[in-house]
Amino acid sequence: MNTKHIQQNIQQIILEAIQEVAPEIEQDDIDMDEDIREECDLDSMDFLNYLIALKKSTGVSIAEGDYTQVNSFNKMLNYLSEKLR
Amino acid sequence: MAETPIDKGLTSTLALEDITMPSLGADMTEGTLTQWLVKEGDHVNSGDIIAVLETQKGAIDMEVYSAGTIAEILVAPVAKVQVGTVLARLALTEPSKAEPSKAEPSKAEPSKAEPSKAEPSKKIATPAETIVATANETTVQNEDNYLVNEQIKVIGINASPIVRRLAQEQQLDLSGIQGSGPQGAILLADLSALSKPKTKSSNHDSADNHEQNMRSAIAAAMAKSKQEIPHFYLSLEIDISAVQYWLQQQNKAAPPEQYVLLLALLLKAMAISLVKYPKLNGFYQGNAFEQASTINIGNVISLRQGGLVVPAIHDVDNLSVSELMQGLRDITARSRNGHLRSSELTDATITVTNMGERGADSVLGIIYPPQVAILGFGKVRKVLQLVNDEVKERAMLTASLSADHRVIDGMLAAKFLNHLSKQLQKPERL
Repeated sequence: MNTKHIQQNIQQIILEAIQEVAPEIEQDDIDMDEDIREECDLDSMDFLNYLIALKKSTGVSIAEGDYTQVNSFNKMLNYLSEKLR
Repeated sequence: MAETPIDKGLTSTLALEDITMPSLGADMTEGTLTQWLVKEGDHVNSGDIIAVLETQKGAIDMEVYSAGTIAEILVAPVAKVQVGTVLARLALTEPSKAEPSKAEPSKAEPSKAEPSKAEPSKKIATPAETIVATANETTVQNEDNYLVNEQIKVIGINASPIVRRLAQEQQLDLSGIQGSGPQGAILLADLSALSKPKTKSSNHDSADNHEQNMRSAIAAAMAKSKQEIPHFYLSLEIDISAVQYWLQQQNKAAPPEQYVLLLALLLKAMAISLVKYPKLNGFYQGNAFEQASTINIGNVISLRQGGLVVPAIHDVDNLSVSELMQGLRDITARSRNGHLRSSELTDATITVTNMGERGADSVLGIIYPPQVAILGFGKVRKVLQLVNDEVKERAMLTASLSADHRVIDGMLAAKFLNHLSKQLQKPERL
C-alpha cells in the first residue's frame, strides 16, 4: 500500500518535470513504455532541463551512463523508485 | 552655462522617454500588454522588468532601458497594440549616460535654452508654475527635440497621440466622446469603455487565428529578407571527432546541470571565428554595414505551439563553455514556459539554426534582417574517411553559412568557415 502511494507520488513528480519543458503535455498524452523524448517531442536541451527539474525535486542525479535506463516514463518511474527507496 | 537648480530640475523632470511596445523580431507586428509590474511614480533601473507582454512568441518580460521614474502609464492592461505604440513614459532621473551633452537644454532647442542663458530671470522666476503649466499643456520637449504627448487637434478632435493611434487601429469614432482631460482632451481612460469589447474579442483569438497571424508575420519578414538581401550560401564539412571525444569525456559522469551539448562548443568556436572575421557580425541598415561591438548569437528555437523564437546569448566570446551551456539551457527553458526578456529578442547580431537535432543533414537559413549572416548546423554523421592514407571512422557535421553579399564576399565566408573548422579540432582550447 505504502509502495503504491510512493509510486503515485513519483509519477506526479515525473509529470511535473516534463511539464516544465513541455507545458501542454498531459499524462494521457504519454505512452508510458515509449521513448519519452519522442512521446513529448523533447530535444536534447529539453531532455537535459527535464533531468535537472527531476534532480531539483528528488535529489537524484542522473548521468549519461544511465540514460538508457530512463528513456521511457515507466523506466524513469522504476529508476527513481529504486533510488528513492 | 547657467547651472541653476532650476535648469537641473527642468532637465531631470522633463527628460521623458517613451516606453513602446517592442518589436521582438522582424516577424512581430503587435503584442498584448497583459500586466504592469510598476505603477506611476515607481523608480526603475535600466534592465528592470516593468511589464509582461503576451506575444506570438509567448509571454515576454518587458525591460526598461533607462533609469528613471514612471511618469505616466498610457495603456491599461489587457490591451493589444501595434509595435511602436507608446505604453508609458519614463522621466529620466539622470542624463543619458551615452550622450550626456544631450541633457543640456541648449543642445536640445536653442530657443528654449537661450532664455536661461540670456535672461535667466524670465525662466527662473516661477519655476513651479512653469513646470505645472508645462505639465498641464502636456507639451514637453524630450531630449531628441521632438514633441511628446502633444495633444493634436484634428478636425475639432482633441486627443492624445496614443488615443488617436488606438482609435485608428480599432476604428473608433472619437467625435462623440467627451474627453476628461485638459480642455476636454480625450484621454486613454475615456476610450477604454469604447475599446473594451474589441480588446476582449481580440484576446480570445482562436489558436488557429493565432497561428495564422504568426505564419503571415513570418511570411512577411522572410519574404522581405529574401527580396532585399542578396543571399549567397557556402557549406563546409567539419570533422568533429575531436569534439565528440571531448564531450564524451566531459559528460561521462557529469550531473545533468554540468552536461555539455555539442551546440555549446559550436557556438563558442563560432564566436572565436567572429572575433577574427567581424564583418559577419553586425547590421546592415540605411545602405551601410555597422559592425556590432559585442557578439550576441541568436538561437532559433522552435516553439511547441508552432512558429519560432530567436533569443540571443550575449557576449558569447567572453563566456566559458559551461557558462554558454547554462545560457542555452536557460533560454530554451524560458522559450518553453515564458519569461524571455525583451532585450534577448532584439539584440542578436548573428543567428544560428541547429537542425541537426531534428535529423537534417544541412540547413541554408534565411538571414534575419538587419543581420548579415545566419549559420546552420546539420546532424552529426559517422563516415569512413581517409586520414593519412588510412580508412578511419570520423564524425562529420555540415556547417552552412548564408551571407549578405552587400557586406560579405565568398572568400571571406569561406575563410570564416575554415577558421571555425580549425577551432573545432582543439575542443580543449574552447
